[in-house]
Amino acid sequence: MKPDSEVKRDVEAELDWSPDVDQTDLAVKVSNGVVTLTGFVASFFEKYRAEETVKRVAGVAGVANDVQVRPAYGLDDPEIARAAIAAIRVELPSSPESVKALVQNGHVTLEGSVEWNFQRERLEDSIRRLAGVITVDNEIMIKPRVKPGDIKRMIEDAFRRSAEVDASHISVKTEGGTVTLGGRVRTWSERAQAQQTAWFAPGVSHVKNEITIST
Amino acid sequence: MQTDTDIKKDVEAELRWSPDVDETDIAVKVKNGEVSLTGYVRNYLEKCQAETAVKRVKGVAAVANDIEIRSFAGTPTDPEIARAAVSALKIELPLTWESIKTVVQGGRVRLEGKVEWHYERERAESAVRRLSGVVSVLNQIRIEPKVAPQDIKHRIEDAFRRIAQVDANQITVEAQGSDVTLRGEVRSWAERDQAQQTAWSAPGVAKVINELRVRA
Repeated sequence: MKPDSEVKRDVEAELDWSPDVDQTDLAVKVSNGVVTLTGFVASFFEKYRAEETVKRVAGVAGVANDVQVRPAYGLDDPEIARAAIAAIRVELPSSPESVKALVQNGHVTLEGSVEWNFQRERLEDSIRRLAGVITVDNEIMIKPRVKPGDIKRMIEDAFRRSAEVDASHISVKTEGGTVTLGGRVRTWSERAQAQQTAWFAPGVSHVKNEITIST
Repeated sequence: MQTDTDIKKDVEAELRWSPDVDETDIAVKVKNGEVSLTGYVRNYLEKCQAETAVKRVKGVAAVANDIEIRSFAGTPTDPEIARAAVSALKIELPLTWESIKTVVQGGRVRLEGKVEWHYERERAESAVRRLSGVVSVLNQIRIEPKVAPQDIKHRIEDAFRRIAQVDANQITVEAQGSDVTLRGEVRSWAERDQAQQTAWSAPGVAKVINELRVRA
């Protein structure tokens, strides 16, 4: 296993290297492969990107993201709200009323329901990018329109087809519309892809991702 | 190694399975691991998503995406698309949008201008890709780094060694001035994309030629 001091060095190098994150006011601590990020960034999107950057580094078993957002510039609440409505219309052209965004002092809460998780994620992603946003609380619920069929088999087939996900190291358990993923993968990217794949199964309303990263 | 028939079956299954793609009018051909997509989808974003779905499949070495957009009545006019594009760029890149120009003709969007970093160029493209009425996006934004390239080969190689997803031993990095060429073999499109992203992160890089092959 990579020593914590090496992980810290590499995480700091990767943060320094990434042009979309200003790491000037960030501090990195590592304990048993778990990285804790503290400090300040100018936007919520940068906080999110800092976490994604850390997850790229080999040897990172987990991330605690305690970075605080201090926006230097950005949209005010009504502007954020308008941008949120536009994003909802783009993502859900036939049912924009099924999702609402509440904005208060840069803190955004998304409520309502959608049929698919990828819609929920894309909405969060659109809001996350807005300058001036300090936090995004995504409370959108997944309400599938179809009943779950043989989702375990469908997900396992998708893993077998996948170039990135190693099907032999991942376990799939299902109970109604809930999927639990277990096992070990090499990268956070593979873990995220496995999760996205599970969410693609028709009728899934909840995915518990218990996949761990081998370091 | 998989046969073209196996790959075609898996690609069609992946397109059927992906809820963000309506595969009803999409046709798939496979020859030597190279997938050719034709047919119709509702909008440009779905065309891009179809390609992303295909690239997830094991055995796919390359994708030729000739899917066409079937527009419907009520599609926004070119000036409406251009206005929406400018608004989207303002939101996506609040500090750089003014150096980007948008030209729209028949739903075909062309982005011009210059930015300092490749990730800004990418965000500009993704901001306009999903707009209603867009048929295609041609991204001609130039990268003009503000710093001179310095030791980019070693810096990129160090980055490959740091990150989990890329197998540094299988990739060679060649740097000539501000141009970088990547050669070698990777296990998936995801790894290929990450290697490319990493190369673009080196300060001073103005061009990345990605010749990485995805192992079948």
